[in-house]
Amino acid sequence: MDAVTPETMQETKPEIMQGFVFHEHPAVVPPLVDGRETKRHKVMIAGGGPVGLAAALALAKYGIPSVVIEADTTVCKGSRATCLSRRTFEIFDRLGVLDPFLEKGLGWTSGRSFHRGEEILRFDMPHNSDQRLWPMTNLQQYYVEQFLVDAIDRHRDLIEVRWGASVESVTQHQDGVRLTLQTNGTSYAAECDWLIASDGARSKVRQELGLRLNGTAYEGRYIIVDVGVDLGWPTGRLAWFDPPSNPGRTMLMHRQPDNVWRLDYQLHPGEDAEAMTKPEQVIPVVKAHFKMLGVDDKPWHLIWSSTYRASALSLDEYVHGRVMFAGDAAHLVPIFGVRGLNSGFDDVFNLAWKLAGVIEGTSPTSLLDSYSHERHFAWRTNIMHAMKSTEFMAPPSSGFRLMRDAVLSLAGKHPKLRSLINPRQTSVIHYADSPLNTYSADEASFARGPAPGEALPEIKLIDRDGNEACITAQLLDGFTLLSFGVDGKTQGAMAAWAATAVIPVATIAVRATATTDSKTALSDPSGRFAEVYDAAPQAIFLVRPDGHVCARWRSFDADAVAAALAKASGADGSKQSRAGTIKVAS
Amino acid sequence: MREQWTDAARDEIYTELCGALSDAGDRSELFLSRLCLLLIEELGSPQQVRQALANAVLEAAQA
Ligand SMILES: Cc1cc2nc3c(=O)[nH]c(=O)nc-3n(C[C@H](O)[C@H](O)[C@H](O)COP(=O)(O)OP(=O)(O)OC[C@H]3O[C@@H](n4cnc5c(N)ncnc54)[C@H](O)[C@@H]3O)c2cc1C
Repeated sequence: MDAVTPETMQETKPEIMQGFVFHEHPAVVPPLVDGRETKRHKVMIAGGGPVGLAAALALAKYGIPSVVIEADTTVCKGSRATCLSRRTFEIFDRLGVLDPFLEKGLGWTSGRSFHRGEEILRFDMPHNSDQRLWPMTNLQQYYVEQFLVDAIDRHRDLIEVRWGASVESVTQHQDGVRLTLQTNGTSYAAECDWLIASDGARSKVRQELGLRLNGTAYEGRYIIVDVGVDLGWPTGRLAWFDPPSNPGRTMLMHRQPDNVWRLDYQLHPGEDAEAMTKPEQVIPVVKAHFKMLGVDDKPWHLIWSSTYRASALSLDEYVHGRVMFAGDAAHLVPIFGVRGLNSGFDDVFNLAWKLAGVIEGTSPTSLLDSYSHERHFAWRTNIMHAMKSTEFMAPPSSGFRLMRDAVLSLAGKHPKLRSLINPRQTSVIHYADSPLNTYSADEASFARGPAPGEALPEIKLIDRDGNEACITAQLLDGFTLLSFGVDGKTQGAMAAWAATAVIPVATIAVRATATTDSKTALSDPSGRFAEVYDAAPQAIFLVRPDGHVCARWRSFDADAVAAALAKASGADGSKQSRAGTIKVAS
Repeated sequence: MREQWTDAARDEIYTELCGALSDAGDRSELFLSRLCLLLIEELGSPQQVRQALANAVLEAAQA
């Protein structure tokens, strides 16, 4: 028998970029016997980008161990995601990683667009005094990944990140998935019950399963540039169409932490994308733009430049037997409207509680189909908006260009046309036709508020110590039964029902007036909860672990709530395919 | 029921217009002229047409 002991790569010096330190992680080969890893894993995650790292943290919330296989030995380098949505920050909070993101990120609420020299649009992201988090926060993707890696370090009991290990082959069987991994020239076999494929746009797992992305790839190309400069300007989205500095181009500018500014600009037809990333081509474009903005006296330097081409592509299904796709491995969305990474975080937050339920045996494997259903719907919604932004930023044909130019030339004096220029930034997806929703007999009586499939809207409540308590920060990891203005008797009945429910359900009771009652933690003295949720006293909301509502009622009925819970957890016996009948494609 | 004139509806119509204009190809000027003629018939008064005409006149800077 050929036993191999762990091998460690030399740790090299960290690279520093504008204050950020890129640590090299050692690449380690686990103990092997005859070229096989001795331990079989419950969950392996192919790709330790932001989506894979978040998947591991989300599973750890349910006590599910995982191994992340990451080909690289550092967090990502280069220009990638910058804008993180409020929903993403809510997910960070639920994963227990919010603080460093709040500390380092730059929150913003508005943007400005210019045509030639004229300002033609000022837009505001949805934001009001109910909110605790910014609608959008700018932070470089390497910080995002680093903060997730730091959090994983605190969960070493449940998560292993195997740096410098790449997935070479994948085969799946009725009872599990077999992979060939490779680290520093050593190939070995590994096995797991479930594989999450989050290995990015060129997913090796996708190739191995013979799957293809379908959709549209756009012709237009963009140069993405990060520069180091202290402009002393506030954070927000800045866009120029046909600016005097660079006629014919569309330019975008975003401030990031550490005095890094992102500039995106569109290439003219016929310009060679590769050549245009060279400093001698990039510097004059940036210089001219800074001159136009009157900041050409500020010292600046080029950090990175790359090319980008928008595409709207997706797998038709995200669950294939025991392999689940998430993030860029599952779908691609044009960057305009910032839905790529933000939707990847929503993928894994949707998937984790379902997979945990299946692994723990409280839900059938068919629950995973709802992951594919809901998140593919999310992709379709995302591309509908993102394609409109892309078509406006880079018109795909003469008709689009002519109309776009007409709108730009009129929007300064004709405010009604300005909505066509709005960049349609990402927002939370409403899973309106989710198979997990229950439309109760009371549903029609709600004039507004979170309908089945919608995420809980934020509201500031008051806890019994008189402190502000936001509703989205109250949710725990399982299902929640949220009630408004119920009497003591109903509260008792709810607690008794929750204690015997088939799967754990937490209860949160909101009172209309301030309370010192130890059973009622929260109150709504401002009346905002009642208003926004259209909640008359006795109203009940059943909330999924990912914060989406699955049913609501005007009063508590244990049987109705039990039926909705069974449906949302997949335990209602409908369309179940238990572990023994998993469909394995190849 | 009459469809409401909302931002979303404007968005939809805009995209349909872009597509139709692209489809018209090198006859896009004729297409636009025909569309204008049809739309002015929908307007309430000649004054409104004259106002829209004045708004659409290209200034030198927009040429
Ligand atoms: C210029 C630009 C700007 C963007 N801006 C935004 C934005 O503002 N907001 C937003 O939401 N999104 C944005 N995006 C999109 C965002 O960057 C991606 O959606 C995001 O990186 C997807 O994360 P992921 O973890 O799915 O994939 P990736 O980040 O690609 O991570 C995949 C990981 O898998 C690893 N890997 C690959 N193959 C293997 C293998 N065979 N074995 C093991 N590991 C492997 C890779 O090393 C990598 O670490 C932007 C993208 C670009 C290019």
